[in-house]
Amino acid sequence: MASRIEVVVAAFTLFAAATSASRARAEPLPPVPATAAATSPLPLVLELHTGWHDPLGTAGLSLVFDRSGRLSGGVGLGLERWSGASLPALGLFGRARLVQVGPFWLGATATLSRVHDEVDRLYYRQPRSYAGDNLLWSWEPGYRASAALGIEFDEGRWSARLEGGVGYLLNDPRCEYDNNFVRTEGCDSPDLPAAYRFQVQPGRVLPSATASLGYSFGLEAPSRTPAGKSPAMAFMLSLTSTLAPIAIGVGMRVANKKRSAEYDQASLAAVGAGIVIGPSVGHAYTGDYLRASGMALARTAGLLLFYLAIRADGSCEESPCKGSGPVVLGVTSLLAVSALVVYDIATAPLAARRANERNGLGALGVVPAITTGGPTPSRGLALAGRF
Amino acid sequence: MAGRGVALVLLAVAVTACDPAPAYGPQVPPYVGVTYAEDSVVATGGAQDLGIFYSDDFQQYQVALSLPAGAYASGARVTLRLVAGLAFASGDDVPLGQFLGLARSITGQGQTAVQVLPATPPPAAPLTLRLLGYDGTSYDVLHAKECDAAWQVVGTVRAVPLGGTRSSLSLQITDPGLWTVGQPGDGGVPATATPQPAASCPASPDGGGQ
Repeated sequence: MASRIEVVVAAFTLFAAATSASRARAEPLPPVPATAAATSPLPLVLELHTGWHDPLGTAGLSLVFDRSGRLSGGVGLGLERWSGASLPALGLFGRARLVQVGPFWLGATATLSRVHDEVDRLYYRQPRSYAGDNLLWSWEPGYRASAALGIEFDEGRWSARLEGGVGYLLNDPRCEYDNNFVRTEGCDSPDLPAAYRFQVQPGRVLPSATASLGYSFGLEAPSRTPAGKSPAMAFMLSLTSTLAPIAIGVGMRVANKKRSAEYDQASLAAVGAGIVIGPSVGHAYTGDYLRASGMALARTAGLLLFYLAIRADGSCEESPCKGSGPVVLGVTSLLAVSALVVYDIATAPLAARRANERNGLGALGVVPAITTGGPTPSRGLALAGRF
Repeated sequence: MAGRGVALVLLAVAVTACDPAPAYGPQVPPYVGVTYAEDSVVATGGAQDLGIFYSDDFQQYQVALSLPAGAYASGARVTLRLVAGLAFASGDDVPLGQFLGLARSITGQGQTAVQVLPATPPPAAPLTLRLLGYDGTSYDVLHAKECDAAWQVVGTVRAVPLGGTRSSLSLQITDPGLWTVGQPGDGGVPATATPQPAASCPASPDGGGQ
């Protein structure tokens, strides 16, 4: 048994049986002091982000000054331009890390940005004897204040953030009205029906969701992840990361009574993200990045096949369909994707246990111990592991 | 708990503010054709004006209705509409549109007219309907009730030049309903009318209605 030397890695004595039982649960290790990052000559993080109604547009880059403390801040640049003559979106933001939950930080972000935005609506007044009214509100540029709550996960130089929040365009928009007969510009125009002179125009308040991936320059940021991976945490991460986006997407679809194409696309994207990325999150937490990304790619391929099957089946409505190939492909790919989702969620706890074994923490256990360091021997419990 | 409550209230405000619902005025039947513009006032017993202003890419137009004092009882809602899609006659002429430029904007939308409501009671004093448009010198004035079978020619009106090609038409109207103008002699007045009654009109024996 020489290869299985039992080593006491940490011992803590509990002098009363009752309190020992209540404290026997493993508590997360405290974060490593951020001394390394604090001495970093260049505490900068480059972030690539994308999202829906993001303060910097559909996609953007940010440079964050982050010393791994509670507060950080930076500047952002949108990657798309409104027109050839306009500036891309620009932003200034500050962040606060508020609460640490396991390997995650929950935090808040406040952003001021200069953006371009427009919203159009088609209204049909009842009874339908009225012509349809096309309205367009545009902010060229718009000055936007945004607030968001987010969850952040750091691992070495890499970090990931998911944020949800609300933005508000501070300046008044330009209004255009057209009912195929009366056409007017200007929110104060007498031709603009009073019903459309809103105090807060559609699109001025913007719910937003952003996902970002960051890479830290300078010294490697300290890991906030406890050394031991919790099987329960891995399972919950995979499950909630799958179900939450799907629920949000379905909710958006149900709430989209006006059948806005933009909302439909966003709801599909949310469901797709839940199916593709969600089950892999628990595996990413355990450090199985290759497996996490590989399974995500497999689900992407399955969804792609499902989409192709739907398209092929749809074309059968226009011309006679040869065989039931599209239906078989669609059903098979849908079943395969569902199986991959369930499999990844179900095996996330196993991945955590494997990670603990890899790190020598697989055989952790609580054992009786007697300490003799004090004036009298004390009986208690010790946390021990084999490696 | 308080923080959670505040967050929920903020979320509710944000969601409802994303897409505010327009608050339209009251519905005033009967409806005929397609209403493209509308204005209404609640009569005060004094002199009042209603107006519809619009412009295309080149020119500006106006339909204005003046209510003299005492024309309507105080509290009555008076409505002025610009309607198209009327099919009182076969053919594609657009009587009012010829003067007001509607033909350029809503080509193929049928005849256009001004609708004055309420349908009852009629005004106690004649109302003045003023059209600011372009071109033309003399027009027939046509009137119809929403459930009528045909336009009735009730007179003629001469355009008053306002400079350039702009001119004005002024009509004295004593009845609510549909009013339009057409140039005499060019087919503006339909020789044979095909009624297109509103949904609220009694069904005709041949099953008309829209």
